[in-house]
Amino acid sequence: MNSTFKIYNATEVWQIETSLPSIPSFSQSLDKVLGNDGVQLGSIVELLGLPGTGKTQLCLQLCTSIQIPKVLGGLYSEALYVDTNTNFTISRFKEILFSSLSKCQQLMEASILINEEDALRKLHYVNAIGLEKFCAFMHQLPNLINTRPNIKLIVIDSIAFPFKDGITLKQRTGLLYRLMADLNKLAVEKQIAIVITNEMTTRIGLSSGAIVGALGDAWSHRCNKRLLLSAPDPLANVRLAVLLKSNNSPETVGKFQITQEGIRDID
Amino acid sequence: MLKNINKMDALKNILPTRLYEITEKAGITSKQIIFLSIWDIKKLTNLKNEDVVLLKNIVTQYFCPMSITADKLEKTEKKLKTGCTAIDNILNGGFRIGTVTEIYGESGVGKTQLVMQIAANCSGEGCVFICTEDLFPVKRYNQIKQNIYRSNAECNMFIEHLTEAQELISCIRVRLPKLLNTNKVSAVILDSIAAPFRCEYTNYVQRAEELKELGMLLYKLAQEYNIAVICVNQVTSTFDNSDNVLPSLGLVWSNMVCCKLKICKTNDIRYTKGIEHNVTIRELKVVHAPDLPTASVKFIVTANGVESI
Repeated sequence: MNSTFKIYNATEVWQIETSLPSIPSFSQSLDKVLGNDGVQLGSIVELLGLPGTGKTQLCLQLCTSIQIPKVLGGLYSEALYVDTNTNFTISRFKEILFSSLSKCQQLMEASILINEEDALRKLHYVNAIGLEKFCAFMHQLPNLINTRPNIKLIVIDSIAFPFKDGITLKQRTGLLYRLMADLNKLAVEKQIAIVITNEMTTRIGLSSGAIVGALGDAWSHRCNKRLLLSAPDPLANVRLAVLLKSNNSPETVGKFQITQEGIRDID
Repeated sequence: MLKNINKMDALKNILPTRLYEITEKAGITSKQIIFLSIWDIKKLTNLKNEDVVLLKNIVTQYFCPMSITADKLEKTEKKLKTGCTAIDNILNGGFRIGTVTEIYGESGVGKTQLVMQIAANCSGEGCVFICTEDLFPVKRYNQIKQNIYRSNAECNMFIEHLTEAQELISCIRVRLPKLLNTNKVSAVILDSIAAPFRCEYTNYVQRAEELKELGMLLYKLAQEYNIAVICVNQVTSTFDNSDNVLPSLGLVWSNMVCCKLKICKTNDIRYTKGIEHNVTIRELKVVHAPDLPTASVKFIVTANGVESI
């Protein structure tokens, strides 16, 4: 076994922490909930929510935000979208991408022109529908990241979906945790942000039931931050993001809306 | 190219002979090589650490899907037209191919009418229609079909009647792939998915497992054969003090569906000259879909099928 241990002092750790940039969500309220003005590189964020609450929309928005040019304070990097439940559509991604980029273009005037083809090339998409494809892909993921060092965001939509597929609970636990251990390592070593969407399920207790995140109790420890999205009033376009777990966020509830252009603040 | 994950032939071609002989002797499938941990595989095969790592590497590389950049994806998703332009418009072209869409609503709102219209519009390609409630309404289907002008070949309709959940699962698991291998089909319609699962279950955990299995089978078929899977669902009440209804079968099924559409009857009636009775106006609403805004369209059911107003 080959491992090197380095001992950092608190100043070094603080310097590393404050130097890692974040991926904004285009909603200031949501960014405050995420802490660090967005999803920080090196962190793993889990998005929970009932169907239709906006998890995929937020993922698509983050895949767009990571492309913001450096001139505007963005990361100008690439994203990888691991699709396990057919929620990704190129038409919706283009909608969000082009409207966010045109906003950036307006701010930059004509100094740098953003090319649409180049912008599309910054999203890597993989169809990993089915547990075998998903696990095979995750196993090869470190190799893929080595060949594409510009990828700074990995979105897995969703992590619960492949595990419905005829696997025993014991096997599922082992597989899931090995996967997360590898993802954790990848996030920290390569300073990549990882966003994972999860589903809700009913936990049946002795006398009552509760709606909780899927994949079990022990799973809830795997991610740095857990965000619960909800649409409390289906008639009004107000979405809530509630922080269930975080290490450094100042706010716990954020409000945002989903428009044709993507995620935005409520005016 | 279909990579059959369980055939040992695939392993034979990709592994060095020595490793292949050992895995065959131990009886390990490629699935197990992908899922099990290094320790588990070591226990089953008595291979050394480096060999197991190499084994896993080769097998996962073979089954690993390729990542492509978004500019190389198809410009838009493939859609299945419904035959009614206004409905196609709110769906951004029609029902998405490669995924499962759900249509839910109270009894008698027009769900079966809409899916029959979709079935009748499968121009030249086949359609699989699985009935779990009433018998397939042949007369009504022919009535709708008559009014659709098609210059080319007939649409093949494959109809199945089932009532039990186990029958449905074995139909989807065994018979449907065989049919799809020999016939080109563009839609699989399940009317309804709720009926087999709603009457006889007391063990909800078992029901959940079966729904998950069914859902995954439908997704795999939709992806592999490029078909649009459309499931009709019934409703159940919410326990808040309103008249709202939820799709039945609970959160388990709700999590499996990519796109949900709701049909309801409105209180408006359409007065048409020359027709004795007045026709109720119905509304089709997009409840949620990852690529569609929540829009709705009003329609009526006529002799020609479903017409928007």
